Amino acid sequence: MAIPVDPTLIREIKRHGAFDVSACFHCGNCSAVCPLSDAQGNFPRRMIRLGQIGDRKRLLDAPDAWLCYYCGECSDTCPREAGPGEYMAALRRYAIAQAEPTGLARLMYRSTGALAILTLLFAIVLGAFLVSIKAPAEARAWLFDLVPYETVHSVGIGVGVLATLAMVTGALSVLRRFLAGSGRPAGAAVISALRRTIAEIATMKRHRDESAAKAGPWHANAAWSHLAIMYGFGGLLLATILDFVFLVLLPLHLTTFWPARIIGTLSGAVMMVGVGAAIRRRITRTERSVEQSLAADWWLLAFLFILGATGFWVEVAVTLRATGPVQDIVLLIHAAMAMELVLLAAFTKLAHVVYRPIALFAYYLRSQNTA
Amino acid sequence: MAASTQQLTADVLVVGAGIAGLQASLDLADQGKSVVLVERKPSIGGTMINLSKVFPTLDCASCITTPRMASVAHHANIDLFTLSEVDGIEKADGRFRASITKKPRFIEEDQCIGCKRCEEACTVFLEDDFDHGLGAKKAISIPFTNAIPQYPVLDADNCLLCGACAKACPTQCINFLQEPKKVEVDAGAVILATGFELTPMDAKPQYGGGAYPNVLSPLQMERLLAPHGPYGGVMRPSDGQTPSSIAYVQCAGSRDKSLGVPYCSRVCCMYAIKQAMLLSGSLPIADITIYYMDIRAFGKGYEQFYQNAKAMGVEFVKAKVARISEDESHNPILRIERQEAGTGPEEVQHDLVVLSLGMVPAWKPSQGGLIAVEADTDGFLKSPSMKLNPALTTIDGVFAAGTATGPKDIVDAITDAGAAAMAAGNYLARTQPTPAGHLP
Repeated sequence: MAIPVDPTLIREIKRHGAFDVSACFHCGNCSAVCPLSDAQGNFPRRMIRLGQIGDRKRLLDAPDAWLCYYCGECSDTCPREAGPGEYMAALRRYAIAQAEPTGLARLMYRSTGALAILTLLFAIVLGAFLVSIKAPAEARAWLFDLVPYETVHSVGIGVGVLATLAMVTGALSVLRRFLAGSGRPAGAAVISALRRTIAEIATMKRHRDESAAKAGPWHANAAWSHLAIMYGFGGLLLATILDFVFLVLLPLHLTTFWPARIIGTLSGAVMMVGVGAAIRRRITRTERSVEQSLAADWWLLAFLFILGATGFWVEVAVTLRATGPVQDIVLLIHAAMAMELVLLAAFTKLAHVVYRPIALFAYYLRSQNTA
Repeated sequence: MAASTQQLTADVLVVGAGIAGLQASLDLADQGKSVVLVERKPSIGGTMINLSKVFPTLDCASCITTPRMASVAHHANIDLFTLSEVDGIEKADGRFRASITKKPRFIEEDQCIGCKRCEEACTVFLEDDFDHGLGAKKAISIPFTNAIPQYPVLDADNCLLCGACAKACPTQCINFLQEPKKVEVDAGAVILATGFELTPMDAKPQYGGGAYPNVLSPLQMERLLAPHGPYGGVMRPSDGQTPSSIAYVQCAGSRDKSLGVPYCSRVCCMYAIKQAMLLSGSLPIADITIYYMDIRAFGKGYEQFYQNAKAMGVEFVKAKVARISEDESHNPILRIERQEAGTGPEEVQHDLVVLSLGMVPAWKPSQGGLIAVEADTDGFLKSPSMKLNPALTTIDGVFAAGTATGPKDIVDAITDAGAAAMAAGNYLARTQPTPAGHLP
């Protein structure tokens, strides 16, 4: 099969954070030093090669970028200082941008200004949307002088539908890509691959194995801070769903559903510990994987941090029965940003929550086919 | 024994008696300049005398180095100090004043006849540093067969003071109470030929930290290949078996920023190819593989040498060895990714592995001593006029020769030493109107 050569591809990927990758001369040190690379998931060198020749299809069809947890050993030992680890991170950003059709993610990754403006724009739209649902009379009067209530409301819903659609189409597109050419897998193989994927996500064993070699306290370890964020975020999601079910859906007429409240508080604390450790790592730059933080990396951490902080503020206010405009504004910020985070999932780093498990599933499926 | 300080005047002080220091000293002495040559080891000859053969001519290193060493040792214009360290050099009024410590050998050199009776009588065996730990030596011994000078050195740290050597000595020259001696040299110019060291075997944690018995340094392999080497042949240190598969790991100590050695050491490709050729000769049925990133065969006749090695059946695999481990039989296992295979990382087992270590400076200005010349970013001495006058250092009147300024092969080190000798001669002509160099 003829391979189309496209020299523009590597330039495009480099703009997502792989600034030095052109220096690579393919000695293969990165793939061989990598604790996770194997015959079924052969990276980073093969991925760099595909990028350099411009084979967009094979590059995006490979789940390999998502099998890497960026321990940085390849970059540390790269004789050309080509940054294979940074390249893999850039590839993930590129993959996120390519999986959504609007071009929004691409814009936000390539321009910090666009990221800031779009984030603000979304926040305003969502904030107005929330206000429009149930706003104090004076806010209504002030706001809807500018834009009619109906417009705000339908824009909010429209944004939500579009964002959800983007995440779903993105997920379907990477699933189709990663499984392309692997034939129709046997049912048992699918179940086994699913089981292994769930086990990996629940325990992050590959991630922990990879960073186990590094000395240092737990909070300096990427795997542990990521686990804390993941379980914290998951717990908060669970608490939100429980609250929705017990306080809204079921006709119980409760004011507080205590199990959800407790799960939420604990999860929030766990998440904040993880976020704090992650922010600390990025500020102190203790290891290769946090030497280079792009705006997109800070964006997610900043969102989680602000969400956690405002969440606890609201919880304290509720407990103390404090009211007033400050509390209203903090709640508004909290709610608007939470919505924004979820709505922008397909366009930001958060998309890895969907793409990484799909990639792991494809990898485990492939491992079984060859085994 | 209170030793009085010996005072000497010379035209040039040369620090280091490896091949560059020897060449610079000879070039100056042959032109009638007086030279004081100081070497910290007990014998002159540096790394070159430690080699089996040299590339690309495959000359026997001993055969071509020993005459040079002898010429220096016997030259009327050269005062040689071995087992001596230059503590410091001060520049004043255009002259250099160096204080040197001559460490005790614990024998009276003027009485020793080099008969080796002491060595035979000694009962203490130590690791032989000339064979890089592969062989054994006595606690009192001549450093190696063709060492110059042929005086034994007593290792005071390991000597039992049993007196066997003193009893065996026919000239009663062993002196257990010998003290260090101070020497002061007043010289018109200085040549630093401080040389290089190999990067440490344990520098790269991915390569097992130097703990695997069948992973050798290139100088250990030189000794195994030398006709008078420690085993009398090429064998595995772990079990004495003849290896049937030998691998070279190129760039094991160079071009790796994680080691602090981002530069190319220039000689590793060639010495690996040379050793591979010699191994094909001594072990004709062994498979020899060289794992490399790219082969840098830059000198005259080097590319042909490389092609010859390929034609002789040495296998060249383009793959950087990322990790080394070993199995229970101490067989080293290399983890690589073959570029041409495309099948992902793989592990390859060999009987014996040589790490092609790189070059780092043996003396850095930052560690003090000698003289405060400036170092370059690579740690070697800085050449302020690298292109047009490579022998200069940042101090007027102090010149550099050989690998003091950067990695070089023997050919380049010798050329460089000639340039340093010439530059020092010119400097003396300019600064010393009545040369001190009219010799006794």
